[in-house]
Amino acid sequence: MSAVAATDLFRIYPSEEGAAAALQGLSLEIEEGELVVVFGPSGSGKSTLLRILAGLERPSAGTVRVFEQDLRTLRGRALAEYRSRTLGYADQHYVRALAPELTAHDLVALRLELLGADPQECARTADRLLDRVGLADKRDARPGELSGGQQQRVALCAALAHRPRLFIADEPTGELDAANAAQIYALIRDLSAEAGVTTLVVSHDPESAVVADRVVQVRDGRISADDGDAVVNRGGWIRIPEELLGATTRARLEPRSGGVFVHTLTAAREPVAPPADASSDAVVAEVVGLEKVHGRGARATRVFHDVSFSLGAGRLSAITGPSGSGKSTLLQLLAGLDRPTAGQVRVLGQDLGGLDATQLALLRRRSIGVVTQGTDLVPFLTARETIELALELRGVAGDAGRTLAAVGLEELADQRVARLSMGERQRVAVARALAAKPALLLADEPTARLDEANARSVGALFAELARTTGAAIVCATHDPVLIEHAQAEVPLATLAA
Amino acid sequence: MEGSSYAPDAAARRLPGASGRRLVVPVRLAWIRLRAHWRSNLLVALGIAVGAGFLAMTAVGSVAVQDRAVQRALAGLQPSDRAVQAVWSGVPAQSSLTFPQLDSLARNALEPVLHHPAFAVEVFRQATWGGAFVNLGAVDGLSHWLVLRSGRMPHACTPADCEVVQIGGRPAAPKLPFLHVVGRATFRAGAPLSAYFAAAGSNRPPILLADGVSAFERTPLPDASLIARTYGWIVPVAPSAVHDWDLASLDTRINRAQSQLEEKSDIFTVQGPLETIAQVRATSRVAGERLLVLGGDAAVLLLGFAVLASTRLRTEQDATRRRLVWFGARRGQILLVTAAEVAGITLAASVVGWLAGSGAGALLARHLGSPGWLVAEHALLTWRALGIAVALVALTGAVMLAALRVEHVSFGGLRVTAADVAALGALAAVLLALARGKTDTTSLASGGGAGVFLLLLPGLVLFVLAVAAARLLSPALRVLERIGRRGPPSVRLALLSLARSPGRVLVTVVFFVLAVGVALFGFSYRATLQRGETEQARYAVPARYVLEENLNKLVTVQQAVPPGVGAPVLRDDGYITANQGIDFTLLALPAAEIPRTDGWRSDFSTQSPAALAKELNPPVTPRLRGFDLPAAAPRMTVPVTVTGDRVGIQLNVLDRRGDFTLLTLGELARGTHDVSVDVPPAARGGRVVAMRLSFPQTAAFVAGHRESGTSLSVNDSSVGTLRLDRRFAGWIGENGVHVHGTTVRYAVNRAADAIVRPKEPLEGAPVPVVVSPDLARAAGPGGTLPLHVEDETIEGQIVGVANHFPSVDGSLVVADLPTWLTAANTIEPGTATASEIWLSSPARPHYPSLTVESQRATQASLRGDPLARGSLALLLVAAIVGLVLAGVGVLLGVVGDRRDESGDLLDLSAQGVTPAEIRRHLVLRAETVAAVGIAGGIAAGAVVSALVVAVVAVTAGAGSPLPPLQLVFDWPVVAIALAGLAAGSTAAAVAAAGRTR
Repeated sequence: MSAVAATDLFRIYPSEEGAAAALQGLSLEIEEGELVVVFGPSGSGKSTLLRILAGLERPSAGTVRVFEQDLRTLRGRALAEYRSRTLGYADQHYVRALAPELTAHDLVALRLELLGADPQECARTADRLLDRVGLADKRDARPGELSGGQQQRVALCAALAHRPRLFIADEPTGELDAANAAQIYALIRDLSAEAGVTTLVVSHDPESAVVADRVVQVRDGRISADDGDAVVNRGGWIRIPEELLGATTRARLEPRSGGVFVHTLTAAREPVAPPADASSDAVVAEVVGLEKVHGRGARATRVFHDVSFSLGAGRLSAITGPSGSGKSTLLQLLAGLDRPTAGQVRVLGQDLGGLDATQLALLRRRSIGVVTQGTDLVPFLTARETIELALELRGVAGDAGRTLAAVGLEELADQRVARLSMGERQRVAVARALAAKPALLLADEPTARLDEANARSVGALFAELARTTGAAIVCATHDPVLIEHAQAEVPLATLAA
Repeated sequence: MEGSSYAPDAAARRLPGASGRRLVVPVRLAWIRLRAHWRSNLLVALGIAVGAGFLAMTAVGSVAVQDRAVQRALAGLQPSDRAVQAVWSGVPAQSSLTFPQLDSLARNALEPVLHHPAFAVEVFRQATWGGAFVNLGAVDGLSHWLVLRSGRMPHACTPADCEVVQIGGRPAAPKLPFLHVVGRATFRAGAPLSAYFAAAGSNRPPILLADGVSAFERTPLPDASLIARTYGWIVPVAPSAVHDWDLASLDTRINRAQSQLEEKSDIFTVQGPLETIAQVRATSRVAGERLLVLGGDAAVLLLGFAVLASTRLRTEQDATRRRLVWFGARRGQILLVTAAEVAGITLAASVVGWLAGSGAGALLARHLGSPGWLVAEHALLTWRALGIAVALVALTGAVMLAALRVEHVSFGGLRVTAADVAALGALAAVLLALARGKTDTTSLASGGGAGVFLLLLPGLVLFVLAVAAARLLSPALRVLERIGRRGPPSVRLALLSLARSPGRVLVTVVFFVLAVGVALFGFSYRATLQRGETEQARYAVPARYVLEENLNKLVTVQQAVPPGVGAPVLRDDGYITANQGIDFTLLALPAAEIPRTDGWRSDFSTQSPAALAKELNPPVTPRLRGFDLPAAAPRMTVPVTVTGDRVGIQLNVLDRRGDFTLLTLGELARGTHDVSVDVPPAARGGRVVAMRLSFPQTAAFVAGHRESGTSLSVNDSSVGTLRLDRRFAGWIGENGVHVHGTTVRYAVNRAADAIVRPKEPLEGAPVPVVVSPDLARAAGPGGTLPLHVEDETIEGQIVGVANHFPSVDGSLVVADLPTWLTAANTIEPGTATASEIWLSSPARPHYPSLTVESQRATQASLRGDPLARGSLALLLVAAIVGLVLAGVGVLLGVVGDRRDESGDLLDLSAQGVTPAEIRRHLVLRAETVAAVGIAGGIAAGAVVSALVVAVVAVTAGAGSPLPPLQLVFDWPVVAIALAGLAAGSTAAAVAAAGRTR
């Protein structure tokens, strides 16, 4: 029996800017007990597929059955029963999934309690699960007191506490470092296997494939590849990976015995002279003996201490370290958005400790670009307006459309940010930073929600920008693709040890 | 990975008690959330508490106002009327009940009425005892009711030695061995005994009173059992001891006592201030019902704030809902979490609000002079009030829950939303209700849904306006965004955020419209009622002082006031026969006084007072013709030659004060007479304006007897000729009199006197009058109208129309005084004189023989009316609460924005936007929302005020407004209040935004 059978799924979102199709005839079948990982770039329809499987949305067309239950027709009590008993769901934003006022134990037990299970049994199950994921000593901690990896483990336990038949996870390691991500994947594999759960994991992270029984690729709202094979969709649609096509804009198909031969046709291009290398030995930013403590008194937590390094002009540097090592905090200190507990931060020769909030803001406006994780962009602005506002603030001339094209968002330039997917927002944030050409660009996990191709593209863009403008570009990341592009690495865990 | 293997199975089993646990978990979760997020819920709770508190205060204030009205009405009664008393009058020998039995019956029946014991009174009215003609009686606790003037108070009466005290009259001493007069006294003011003893006077027999009725009853008065007497048992009603909430039961208890006593003896009567109680109940009901307008306002504010609060909680609640969905919670469980949280906030806030409002209401009650907590107790601790409180808590919670659960309501384009349909329904309801006509004191006193209408009116109107404001919001914000496109980024960003997301601020703006609308209504309705008090006083007393004849003293204003003091005014009643008859009030005053008349309002007539005066003013001042009497001559002589039957002759003299004096020349027989007659001082220097010829009285008497003794008609006319001197030359005669030169041929009888008088220059010309529209509609061609006043019919020529004229209630006729007097006295000399004097002098006039109405005193009385004070105070509170809630709304909005948009703001900060620019962005957005809301609120307040003033014809003191209330916007106060709100909102926004990095 198929655990999941989705056929020709379409999902259309109407919007003021026109209808947007998230799924365009997606078909997928998953066997019971199978662990499937779904890859795909941002905006390809992965999350929409999961929301449909979770019963949170209905398809515009097509059929979807989970354990023989037709999700299109499930209503009311039956849908609630499906969600509460059959399904386990872990969201990509585990922070949002965990109620901040509940302890880890309460969060794991809550699922069972909502089902009316015996309180003692709930408590025992919660304890068992927390013990199983190595968080027995954190049972009374609230989410805010846990690291990202620990929070995601709690979220997994909460999603699996009731022993669902189908477990779906949306980017479960999107905000975690490689080590934590590996732990989570292993946990998903082990817990699924122990409970005999059918599991569907959506991810960008190639490492997730390690635990998969099967890997499928989603592009443009369809399954483009399944377990390495290209999938021929209804109407003959087949997708050829970009890396095979290079700069090809047209192709000619030729039937051959046993298959089809694709002739690529490449237009001749004018050779473009590479821009001059602007890298130098000049120091753009420097931190000395930096220490940061969150909280006060008994609840004080030291994030790092005695961190010192400098960032040279024209270089892409990667700040690396496990989740919770303080990468984002360090970027905030470099941007002057937070104050260190001890130590000094100097940017372009200025000691940030001597500047007030307005002076810091003006310094950022003049010389520092910040790429946030994309979730906090001003939602009512369009992608183009977001960049134009940044350019205007900085008094810099620039072409917002060209910058958006550089990150592959030219078609979405006039969409409001609120309507973009998380990955698309992240690309807008990157484009905004690129357009401003700051002396110091600080990017927080800029590829966390991007597929490998987009991540490579962003890495290349950053490296290019650093080289041609002489900017110091600093990325807090655990993405190996980005680290690969970096000329320097700041291993935070090692520095702070 | 360490630890035991994962083998969860708890969910697979369906255990007993699971259903209950499924319900307990959401409640527990809600409790945890409430404790964790108490800070963010505090503002929401504060707003709900303020709304609930205002409702409670309105309820308490309403009862306090009614209570004070009751006490004031009771205090205004005569002491003898302000008591509950059982009265028995009769002869004991004819009664089957002895005094002790009567006493016991009466006391038992009266005690439950006010829960106070009665004291007894006994009186033998006007009887002779021991040779003294006196009113003899006894009173329990005599010294309480008397003030000793001489001697001493009597000791308690015993059968052997009964001392009495004398009140009034010449010294009296009955020659009875056991009865001794030991002193003289007067009744203490407030003693409820006047019904038994009346006031002592020089022409009345003295009153002798003993102390103690039971003992007095046993004294050996001769033949006492055969003599009629009155027993009374009295329970005085202290005004402060009777409250509004007692009235219904007091009425019942008095009736019950009456029935109880009548059952034993039908001679018993029980008296109490029942009529006053009924009137007071009606007035206090009007006052209470009118305050329902405020109740409606308070409910609108409360529910509006609940919706606003919900939108501010919504982000957090949505996040919780999403989490619970991911956790597999059922819809009912998610709803229960939200409902439990909402219930917790609403209940706690409402309880705090009701307690605070009760306290404030109690303070208001104390300020008005009522016992604060007692009033609060009776206002709120009743099943009805508690039911309303519970219903409001439930309704507030339900509204919050609904606002949290329903999808965003967006308005725009031609799409018709449920809110549009509801607004249209509300509009239809308002229009239908308005079609019922005005809500006045009668309709409010009688109930019949008028109160419910008042309760709902503000809510319905404000809802309609709120939807209209919501409809207009989106285009208005787009216009603002276009205007701000050239501004700095923070301005553009603020306006762009509003224009792009109008739904985010929709509820805030709508709430602002409601809150500011209520505030403006409070201010303007209060100003309207206050102006109404001034206008009512000026209308009722249209000069600083109005002097009127005191009917107890029978002194005319002309007699009491020297000529030339003030403006004389004639007020009389009249009617027209057209249009099935319309009664009117005639007001004749010198035309020149009309522009100076106080209380005139421009909406009374399309013509100005000066224009009306000009129309009424005759070309020359009319004055009755005749011949003048010498000012110094105490007698006058009239030579008369009578040829024919005896005839009675009188001269009608118009004195210099404007009064008429009749000089009787007597009944003259045939022959020549030089009739000399005394001229009273008042008539000296006056003018003889008419001669009255009458049938002789003796002849009339005889004729009457002769007529009654037969079945025939008796010829009773007196016919003859008079020769008069030249002073009467050229006069004319009426009613059977013909005048040729100085010869008068007369024929008079019992039916009517004949008049001989000069021909007046305006004789036959209609009198110019200003009339009310109903009379004007009844006028004939040419605008003339026969006016019937004092048995005379005077032709009026309508020269102007006025809806109202100061001091006149109802249909009116206003004329120039000299013109009217001349016309009226031409027809029947002496029938029309001024009845009032209007004085504009600042000093209070001293005319003890007249009734003096003071404009200032009238105004002070209106302003001192507890109903008015209470109503005005509550309106002020409503206005302040509206402003405070609007301010809380702004604060809630900015705090919510800062919380919900912390990520966006951090992103802006990361891009180099300075903290000052971010603050400016937040503050500007809050101010724009506030400004749009204030503009809408001003419009809403104006509309609601205009509607309420137009529909509710009730004064501050719960009376009928005369003149009708006219809407007043106290713009300086409103401007100051709104400027304060704007400044407060800005300060709150700056403070809230100031914590932004």
